[in-house]
Amino acid sequence: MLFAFLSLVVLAYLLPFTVLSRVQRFSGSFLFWSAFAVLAILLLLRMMRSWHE
Amino acid sequence: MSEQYLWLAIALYAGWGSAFALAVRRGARLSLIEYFLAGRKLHWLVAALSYGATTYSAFMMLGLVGLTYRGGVGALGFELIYLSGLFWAVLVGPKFWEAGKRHGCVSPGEVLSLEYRNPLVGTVYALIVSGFLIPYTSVQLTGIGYLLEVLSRGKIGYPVGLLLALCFIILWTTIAGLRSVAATDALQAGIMMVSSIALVLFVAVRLLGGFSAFFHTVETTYPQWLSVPGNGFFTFRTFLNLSLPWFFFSISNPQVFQRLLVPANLREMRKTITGFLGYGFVYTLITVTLGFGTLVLLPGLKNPDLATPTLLLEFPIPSWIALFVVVGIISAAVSTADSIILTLSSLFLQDVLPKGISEQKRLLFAQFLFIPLLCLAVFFFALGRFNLIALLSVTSSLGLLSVVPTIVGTFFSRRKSDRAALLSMVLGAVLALLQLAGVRIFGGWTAPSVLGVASGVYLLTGLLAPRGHLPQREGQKCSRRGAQA
Repeated sequence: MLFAFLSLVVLAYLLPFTVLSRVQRFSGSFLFWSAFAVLAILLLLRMMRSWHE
Repeated sequence: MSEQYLWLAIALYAGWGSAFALAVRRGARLSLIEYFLAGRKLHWLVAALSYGATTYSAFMMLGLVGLTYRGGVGALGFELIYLSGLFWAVLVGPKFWEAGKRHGCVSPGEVLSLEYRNPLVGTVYALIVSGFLIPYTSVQLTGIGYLLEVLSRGKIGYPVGLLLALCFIILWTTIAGLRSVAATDALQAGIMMVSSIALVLFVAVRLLGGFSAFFHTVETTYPQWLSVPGNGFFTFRTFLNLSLPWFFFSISNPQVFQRLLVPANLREMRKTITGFLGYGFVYTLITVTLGFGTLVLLPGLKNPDLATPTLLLEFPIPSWIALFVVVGIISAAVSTADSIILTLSSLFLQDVLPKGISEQKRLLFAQFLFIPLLCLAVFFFALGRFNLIALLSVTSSLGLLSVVPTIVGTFFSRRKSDRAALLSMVLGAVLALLQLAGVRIFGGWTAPSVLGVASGVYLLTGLLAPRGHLPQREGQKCSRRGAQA
């Protein structure tokens, strides 16, 4: 889970500056970063499920 | 915008805010835990909204709108990478909360002092974060000052706006500490969200002919704003320097880090973080969309930070939406500033003030000495009228990166040592100051260098320290400083 999350963050830095740098539409980096945030939130929710007191 | 309308909005804001703050005040004698952590009894919804209002400051509706105006979609990436940085709160939060509760700690510095078994660690931490947070807090006042000055066309002077903000901060922090701050925050978070939604809907639907036409206009008129580096503002280095400090925001900024000590249990903490994540995602999308709207409607602005106020002035936006937005921006600024002031005063009380002072005296010190003094420091800094809200906010966060390795190492390093923590924080902070002063030691890679040096020093010093270096624990309770849990 930790690895998946950190990989996702690395992609959030890399993809918009490489693959998506020439896509000048809302369906490019705007959509990618929005989807990244949704995925990140879902992963965080999953990580919090393992909390025990 | 009519000056009378503005005063009416401010009066209403002051009225309901104070009423809320007074309503949650308890007649019982206050304790430090009650004053700074709301007795660890805050409802998760209030806690989540308060976390949102504390995190999202005047930076959003002024700075982030301005950043989108200037650099385009990179502003969205930067802000959403911040949101994903709640990862650190999720990772560190339970251990930090457990340690805080076990020791009866009020401030993050106390937890560090106890975990590293050296009170100097907490003191150095408190001094460093205070030094870097005062400019950030002054940015909040700056936002209010500019907003009222621009909207009243100079009739409400910049210093008057600052003084008004100062009054709200002092009043709402001293009434009942975090309980009153959180109550006013929660309502303010609602206003921030509803007012920004109303404005973005009006801009997109009424002024730009619907979302489809609006997006089409941006794609055809400003295509470079939809990619990075795009128009050249968001180079990879700029993006990394801006976003990296904010990726660690949830643990590097003590005003939000301290909130992890507040929940009654981990279930409440989980709900608080979940609520905030939803709020943050929606609020970010709205703010960035508004930034694109101002780009289309107001081309050629010299100071993009003033895009939102200029929009309110130049276009026929209904008065109720405009005033609601003004109150929303003031709310965002005040809710961030009062939380920071409250947290910094707790750090001074618990980590800088000598021990041996009773709890009641400490509370008096907080209410009548530290909070007013911190407010004055912030006020005089804000009188400098610094223009770049976004950049000032981020440079503050740059300095706060220096405490990140110490915080993470507290709970995850097997070779942690107080020397490593002290050296790492001090050298990281010095490097950040040098970079802010214009010394480019690492070729302009400001954030990675501060984080890299602080982490490297922490790890190396920890490795070189003899095993069992940490002194024996003495008195594991924070009550040694008067915080009777």
